[in-house]
Amino acid sequence: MIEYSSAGLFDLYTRFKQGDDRAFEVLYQRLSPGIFNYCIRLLGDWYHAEDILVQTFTKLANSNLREQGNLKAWLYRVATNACYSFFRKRKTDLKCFERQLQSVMSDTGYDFVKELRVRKLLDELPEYQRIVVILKFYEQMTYEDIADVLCCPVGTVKSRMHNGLRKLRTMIKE
Amino acid sequence: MKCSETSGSIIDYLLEELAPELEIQMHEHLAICEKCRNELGQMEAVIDRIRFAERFRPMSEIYSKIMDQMKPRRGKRKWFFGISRNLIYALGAFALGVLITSSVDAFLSRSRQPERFEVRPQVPSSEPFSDTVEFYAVPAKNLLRT
Repeated sequence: MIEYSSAGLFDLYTRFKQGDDRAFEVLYQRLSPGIFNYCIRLLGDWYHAEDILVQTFTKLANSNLREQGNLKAWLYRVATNACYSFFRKRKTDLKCFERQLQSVMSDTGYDFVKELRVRKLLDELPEYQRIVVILKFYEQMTYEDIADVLCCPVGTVKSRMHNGLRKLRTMIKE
Repeated sequence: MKCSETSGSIIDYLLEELAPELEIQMHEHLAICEKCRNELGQMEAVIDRIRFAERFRPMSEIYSKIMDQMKPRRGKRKWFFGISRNLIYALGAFALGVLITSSVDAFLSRSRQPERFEVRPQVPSSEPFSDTVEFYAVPAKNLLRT
């Protein structure tokens, strides 16, 4: 009997590649909420976040990763790149996001007013700072993990975080 | 620790990203410096404001969407007596190339006009042959041994 709950991410990925569909399901259950929330905060668009989640996990399923690298960072990087291509095409529409939240949250009982307030604040940050702030506060990643996701030095992550938070502080003061 | 040193580390202190010895120094400094304590409080408020947000869950249909998208591509199936798909594509492309080249060649050779050759009788030259031979006179003295 294989113990899925205690298996590492890469173990699950290897098992899936050997034909174990249950391993992929466990992998999805573990990582999908984080990636989905990350995409929502970054894009401010529920449906595009869903699309990117599908894209990311489809890419994982069709990939052939051999090195035992950081699988979580790899997935977040794929999602980040997909989000960047979204940013190139269009800007976040806060009103559209509000409508989406109203339709989605009416069934689930989320507090969307608070969510929108946070969204408004995050929207003021440039994308490169927003990514760092979201990964730190919502995904509880360390600076090293964020640097792994963004493929940049830890110092860059730190400076982006500091500048982002200072900018948020001035905005809140105003 | 001075205030100028702490201002850069306040965020890392809040995020628990400071080295243990720096954290102790920071703690000691904050106990005596009100200005830095204020800055810490402001930063804490900013973090509190953005940290406590809703946690969404993706819809349950998303997983079946992923399964639908990945199934056709999963596993490299062998086609046609165990030959891989890529090899068949390569051979097909090669055969297509040969077919196109030969058909273009056939078309060009058919459309090209054959070259015409004209046989003409050889007409003797109108200029008469010269029957005089010129000799160069060699000075006699050059032939003599001195």
